[in-house]
Amino acid sequence: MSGAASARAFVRGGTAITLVALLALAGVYVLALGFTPLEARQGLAQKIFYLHVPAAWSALLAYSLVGLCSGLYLWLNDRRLDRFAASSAEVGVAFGVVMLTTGPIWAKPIWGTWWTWDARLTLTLFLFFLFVGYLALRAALHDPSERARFSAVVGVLGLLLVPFIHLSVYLFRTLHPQPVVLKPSAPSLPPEMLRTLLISALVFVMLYVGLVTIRYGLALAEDEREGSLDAA
Amino acid sequence: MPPDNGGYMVAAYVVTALILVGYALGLWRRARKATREGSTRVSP
Amino acid sequence: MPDAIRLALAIAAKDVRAELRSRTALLSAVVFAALVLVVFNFARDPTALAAVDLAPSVLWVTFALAAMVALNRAFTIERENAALDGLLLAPVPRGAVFLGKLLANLAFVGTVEAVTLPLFVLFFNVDLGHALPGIVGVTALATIGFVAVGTIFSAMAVRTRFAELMLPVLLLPFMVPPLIGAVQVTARLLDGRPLSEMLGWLRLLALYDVVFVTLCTMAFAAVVDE
Repeated sequence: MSGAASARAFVRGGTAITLVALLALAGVYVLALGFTPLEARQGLAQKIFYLHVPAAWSALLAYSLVGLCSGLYLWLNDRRLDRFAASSAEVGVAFGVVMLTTGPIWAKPIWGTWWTWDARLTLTLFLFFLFVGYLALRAALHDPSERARFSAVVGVLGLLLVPFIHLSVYLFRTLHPQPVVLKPSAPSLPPEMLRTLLISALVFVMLYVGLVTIRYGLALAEDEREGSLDAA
Repeated sequence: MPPDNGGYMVAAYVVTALILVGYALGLWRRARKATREGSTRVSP
Repeated sequence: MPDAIRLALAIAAKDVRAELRSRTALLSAVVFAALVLVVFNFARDPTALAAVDLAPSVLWVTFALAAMVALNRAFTIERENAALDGLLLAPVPRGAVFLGKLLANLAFVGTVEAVTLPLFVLFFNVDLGHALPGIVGVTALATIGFVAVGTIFSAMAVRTRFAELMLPVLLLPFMVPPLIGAVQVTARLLDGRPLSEMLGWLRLLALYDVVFVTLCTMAFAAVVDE
């Protein structure tokens, strides 16, 4: 199949998956709002949890794949890995924005503050900065080989930064006793809430797959146009 | 008596839908434009 | 002495000599650091917050920003001279070239820090006392880490149109763990706390240095080679 024809196939396939995923997302909305018990202590705002956490997981998945494919690209020099990494990064930003908007909207009624430097929120913020840096660098480089190589280096280094951010926040919190904050996602989650969370997570992953596929098709079409398609 | 914070929930659910549907739509349009049949010109 | 090390030292020496001649990177960074210190001083309400409580954060923010200025200028000068391209035509080990650049940048940033510290003591009236050796030590430890990442990122950033903007955007997330660690250790040093309270942070800083210096040395080839 020629590059242009493959690109169209990816876009078509990706669009189909995305449509199904968006419909499923609507279903998740109904499930979370209509068929999942209300948390008496936290009220309706607790239901933001069913969107925020899957979005965060998807963003983490997206970024891990950016890092992984970046490393593989540096090793194997296969342009497909670079295209996939770039696609995953852009889709990851979308989920990152969801995560960073729903996070504070959830935190305010539950914890009384728009932001807190706890491990989860801090990490999500850093993931976002890493994604944005990766995409900004790509946008600023016009030579395809340079763009692929440089962003791959950033991708790998970024992935390795994540455990250090985690460690820093952990050290900070263990050495600085903070006032005990009630974590909304209580360790023992009632089965119906867990069910809704997992279904939502699955739908978000499906949405990630659909969007990345479309984005990959777009990247393929753009590479084709640049005339820089490398054989695998 | 659960706290009255439904407004936050609505805001979050609406914002999420807007971001995801908006991004999907924008992405689809960009992809369609790039893969139009017979389109081999370098994009402007 | 192995060739690679000799090469790295030669590259470092050349860069340091070049910078000593023009002094642009050093001067801009030092002036910038002084400016930041002045602004911090006027931004603070002396009755509300004691200088010593704010000291570690102010010091490290200043170091971080000044380091960024120094790193950017250093590579811009390099690009203008295109000396690196000539060197890379030869089959020299890329890791050695990176280490040479890293050493030169450490010399620049270290000099800026060495000048900033007395300025800081002066402007903020902070008594370093017994903490000085410890502060020098933690400064070295933290600086190695973020200068390593800064060196490779500035090598990439100079290939873009808005290099001065690209470097901070890329580098800032990577500066956070060393900065947090450095501030925590500095605060404890100034407070005269025992070493046991700093070990966790010091281990974090050391681990960061090992991981990122190694990775950046290995990744440099991908940046300078086709």
